[in-house]
Amino acid sequence: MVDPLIATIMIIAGGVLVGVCVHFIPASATGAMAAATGIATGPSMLSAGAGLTGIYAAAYSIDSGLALVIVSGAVGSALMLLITILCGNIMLAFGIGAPPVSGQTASGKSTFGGTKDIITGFEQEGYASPGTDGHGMPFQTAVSGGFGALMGGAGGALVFYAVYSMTLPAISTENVVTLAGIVAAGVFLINSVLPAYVLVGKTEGMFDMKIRSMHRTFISCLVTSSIVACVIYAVCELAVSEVIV
Amino acid sequence: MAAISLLLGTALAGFLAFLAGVFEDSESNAGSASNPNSQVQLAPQIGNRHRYFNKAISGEPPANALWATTAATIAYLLTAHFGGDAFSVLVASIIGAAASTLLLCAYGVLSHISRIASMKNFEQTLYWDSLLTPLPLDAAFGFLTALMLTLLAFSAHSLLGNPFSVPLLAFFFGITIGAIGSSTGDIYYGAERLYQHYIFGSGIPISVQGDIDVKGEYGYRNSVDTPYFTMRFGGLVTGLAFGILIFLDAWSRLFTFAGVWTSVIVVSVLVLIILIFIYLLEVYTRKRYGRYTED
Amino acid sequence: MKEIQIHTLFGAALLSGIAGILLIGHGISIGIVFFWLPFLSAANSVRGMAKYGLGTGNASIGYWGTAVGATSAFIASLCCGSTPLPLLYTATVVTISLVIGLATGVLADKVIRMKIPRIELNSAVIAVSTALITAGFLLIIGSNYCLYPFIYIIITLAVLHPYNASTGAGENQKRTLLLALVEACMTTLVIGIVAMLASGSAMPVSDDVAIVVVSVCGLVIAVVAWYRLVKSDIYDIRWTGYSPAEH
Repeated sequence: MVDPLIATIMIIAGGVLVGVCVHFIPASATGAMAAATGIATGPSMLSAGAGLTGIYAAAYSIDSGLALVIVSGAVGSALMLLITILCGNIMLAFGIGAPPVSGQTASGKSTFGGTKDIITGFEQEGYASPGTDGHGMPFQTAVSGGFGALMGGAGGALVFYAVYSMTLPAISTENVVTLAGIVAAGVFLINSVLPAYVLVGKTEGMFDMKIRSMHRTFISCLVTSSIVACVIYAVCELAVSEVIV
Repeated sequence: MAAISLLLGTALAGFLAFLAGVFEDSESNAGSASNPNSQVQLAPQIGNRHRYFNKAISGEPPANALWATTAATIAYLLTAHFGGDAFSVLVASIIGAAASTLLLCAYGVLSHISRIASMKNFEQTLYWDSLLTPLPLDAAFGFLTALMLTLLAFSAHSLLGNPFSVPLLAFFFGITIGAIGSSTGDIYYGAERLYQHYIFGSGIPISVQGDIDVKGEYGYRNSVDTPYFTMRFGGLVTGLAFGILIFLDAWSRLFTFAGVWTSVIVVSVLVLIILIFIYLLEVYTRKRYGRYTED
Repeated sequence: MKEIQIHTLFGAALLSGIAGILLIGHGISIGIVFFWLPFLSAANSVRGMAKYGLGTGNASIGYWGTAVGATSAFIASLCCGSTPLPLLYTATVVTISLVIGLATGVLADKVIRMKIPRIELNSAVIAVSTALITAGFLLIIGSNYCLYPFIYIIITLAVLHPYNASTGAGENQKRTLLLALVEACMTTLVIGIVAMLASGSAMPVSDDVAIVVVSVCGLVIAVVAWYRLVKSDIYDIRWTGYSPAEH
């Protein structure tokens, strides 16, 4: 258990991590027609899926201390995202019949320039079907997604643990972990939609130019989660001291 | 005893999750929900008047979370009435899933009619049979999804020992399965099934989007044919993704070689192995298909 | 056709929601009908935001707004949910959700620079309306934490679905709001049934039966009104057949 004030800071940090993680997870709605690089769904939806898996995985080790909770959340989330990427690529390879290729990199508009995959060095130009902005998740976007999921899962687990340790003194029933879970999910959902405004529904992760507008997400999520954290802190202090009850 | 329940829970959870994934993908394809829905929505605007079931409860994650959470909440409340043994859990889950299926039908019918009503300018007619024929199929898949997720939530809570309550687990599973279903299975529906008259081996250019197949093997295509096609590949891969996720996550907790940190170490190794698989798959596809060629 | 303004609808929804909470707080469960207006107001604001082609789907707006509202109500229920002071609870819930909703809207406008008119107002409206609904539902079902996810997600769908279901060139506010009313009645119906199960007694409590009866009556009326509007808006309704141009 941690001190309520530290827990408040943990909620703020968790909220910011959740917001920033969305920038790293490659996602695009037109990916469902194999018309753009990225996992075929909205960025905020996908990060919600990954983050909530992280909270689910973190819940198993809630009694084993903060560090384990955070790491379990992070790797649980990364597992979900990488399995999704693998299966999305299987679908693309054997269902659609096309290799994964990054559209932004192929047209030389990626963060680091050039038309090659940064990690594997594979040439991207010429592999995309004409008229599309790439398809599937090439290795560099998969790695970027993995990083994003690690952050998102860690952020979700941070909020979860912080809310748990703040509400435990106030209400001592066995279901307090459920309350912490739903509040953590709520904080996650609030913060994961804000970056979607910045991304306009499509990103290729950290190799997309949109990563440069991350400071806007950072500030927005910082302010929003600070307000949420202060409210949770105030309410829990009131409930513990039984001013009103 | 604890070890046996963990083993049993792992096997059961993986199996239930696999089935849930298959059914979820078929449900969303039978109703043309989620991202490929934009194509069905776009079709009348470029003159393809269709007979698809346009369910349009878009955002698969919240929709599936609703079916699963409703089913699980009702089942959770009913088990308190019934007792709490395995049989009562099963009966309660079936009742809960049936109730959430009614909700699914109501939302599906409302959105199909509303969407067609908003298509007046494009002369799209509301055909009752193209709504009422796929509806039972869609409802059946929705029922099975909700049932599997409810049973999965019960087994994760009681056999695997997750501290969350059953409805919250069902909520998490619903969001996750929606995210996985819309990002794996839907590619097959959106890029292959809806566009079968375009050649195999390429993505769908943005310029031709909306030009979907409206005619099928015989006569006009309706949404009943869709799961028949997509279940052979798209549904199975979706099931594989969700099944593997739940199975590996539970499986990593079976070992005890490094104390409480065991599962984290196991999952980290698994993550690296999956990354290697992604790399190998990319190498294979680049060798097999090569650059895009016009033919 | 003249559209109903956001302020008008929100003002009515706020008063109606507070009236609903007060009635339910004093044991009159039929007060749940006063939550139909907040549903309409939230759905109208989802429409107001999603109409401009947001960077994110309409589903995200719905679940984001409900997350703000529901989380505020869940947190507020910790310190003053079980007290016999519904007015204090309402004030807390409205304040918290208004602050968070308004702050997020202003950030989306000023920092992220979304070019959506009235984004801050619409965000605040969704947050406060859903917070009021959540607070009311919590009073009916009782503060069993296991039911919180259910309350959250069922409000989410009822709020995001009306505009999502009506999207298209021929969409108009009247039909969307009537659909919102249909779905609001559906939601209160389900809440009534769950409240029956959650009460724990062998026989359904008469308060919960009253919720179900009122919701069914509202549902029938709303569906009839909505379907009448659909028939006047739609191109054609047939039992079966093919497109006229091709056969």
